[in-house]
Amino acid sequence: MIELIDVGKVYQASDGDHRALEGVNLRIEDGDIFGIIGESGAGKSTLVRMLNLLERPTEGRIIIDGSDITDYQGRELRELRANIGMILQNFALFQQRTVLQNVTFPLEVRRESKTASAERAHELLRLVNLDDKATRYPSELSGGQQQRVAIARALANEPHYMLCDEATSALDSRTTVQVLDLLARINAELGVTMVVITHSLAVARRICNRIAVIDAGHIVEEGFTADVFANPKSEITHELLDWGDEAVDQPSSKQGVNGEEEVVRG
Amino acid sequence: MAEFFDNYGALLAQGTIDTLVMTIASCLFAYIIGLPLGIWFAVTAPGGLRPNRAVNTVLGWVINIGRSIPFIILLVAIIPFTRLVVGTSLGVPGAVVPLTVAAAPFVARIVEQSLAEVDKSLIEAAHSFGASNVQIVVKVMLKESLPSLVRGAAITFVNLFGYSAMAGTVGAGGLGDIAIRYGYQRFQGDVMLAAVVLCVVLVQVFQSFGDWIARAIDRRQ
Repeated sequence: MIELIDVGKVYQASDGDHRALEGVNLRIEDGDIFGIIGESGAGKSTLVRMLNLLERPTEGRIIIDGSDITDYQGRELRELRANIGMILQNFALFQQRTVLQNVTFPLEVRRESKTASAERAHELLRLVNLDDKATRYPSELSGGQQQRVAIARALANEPHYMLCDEATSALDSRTTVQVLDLLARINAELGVTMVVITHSLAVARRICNRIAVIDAGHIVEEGFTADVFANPKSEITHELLDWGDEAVDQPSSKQGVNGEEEVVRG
Repeated sequence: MAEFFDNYGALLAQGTIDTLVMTIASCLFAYIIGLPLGIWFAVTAPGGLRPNRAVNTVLGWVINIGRSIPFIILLVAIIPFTRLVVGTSLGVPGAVVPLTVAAAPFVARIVEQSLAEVDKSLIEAAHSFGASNVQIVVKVMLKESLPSLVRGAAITFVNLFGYSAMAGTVGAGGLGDIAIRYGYQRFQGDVMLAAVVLCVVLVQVFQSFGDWIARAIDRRQ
């Protein structure tokens, strides 16, 4: 379980302080796919980066599995991060490493044995259906394939949590559906708790069981996805609802993650 | 033609060897000093792995001052230092010291530039997997920028090759020395031309070789 208690963040800049977040209280239960929704600049990227301390809060406490992690440093921090996988909008794959070497990276930094790491990586690549691409380089893959490699890499340390920062924003809608369904499957089959950052309510509606809406650094609405959609309270939620994404909004198709994609170089 | 080679072949061969030894040795030493310096400079930069304004500013000054001193001045100015290090200011050893001192700040700067090109999100991703700063430098920054580092090394090598000709003017030997002594001072245009042609060919070969390696190891298409 992840708990945020009165979390805030102020950036100090030469032209004065800039407040990114204020008074954020959230509780993310084990097994959740928790959506944090907001427009760009609302503070959602800052918020998700606090969960693995890529950003440190300037106010409040962050509790993960009962431990206050807010001031973690050094080894303690690296151990914490190993338990929290992360995927990013631009995939952030290492371009000079093969697909397999990307997936083994998190194991390599923890000095796991090479053979065990490779075995685990192949297992994960089978999970995301890309084992046949193990010796390829990221530049040879489509966007959707690259994000699936990133997902496999994020799972390498068998984390309990996974942070997804706009994981599908760089993908077309059909590929988005495949990646979202893969994330839902990982949540269901491996029990990985997910925190999904998105500007798209359609994405949230498709996979999140709970959502929080964030606007100008404040949580303005929070609850079960169905309730928020049925009865949106805040103005910003109404606005976001008007910007639905038809393709992603379709009820779950049984397309799975195996669909062929065209290679998009990016 | 045959007569020319009988007379000057050995001289030009020795000059080529001297030039290559000076260039390779000073390139190597320049990287031994400049590579860690460049990494340190990149790591302490604002937004770097471990930003440190004071250290970064001082390093910036040192690197820029080092790069702005004209080589021919440096060559003479550090003669006492050169004598201290290798016992002489003459010949190939006497040239390697000033060449290294001149190239190290240049190397630091191009290494820093190569490392700065590494996508910040890769570093963020590495952090998110619990990588330490040392691991990020070695496994992410250096590895991802390797093609760019190789291109930088080729440029450094060619620059040092040119500088080594200037070192020739203070008796270091090499092709530059031959071109000046025979061509400029004795009006033997043919010897000078041969030395210059050798320089051009060697630079082409090394530059192409560097480009080829950089392309071969670059996986970004």
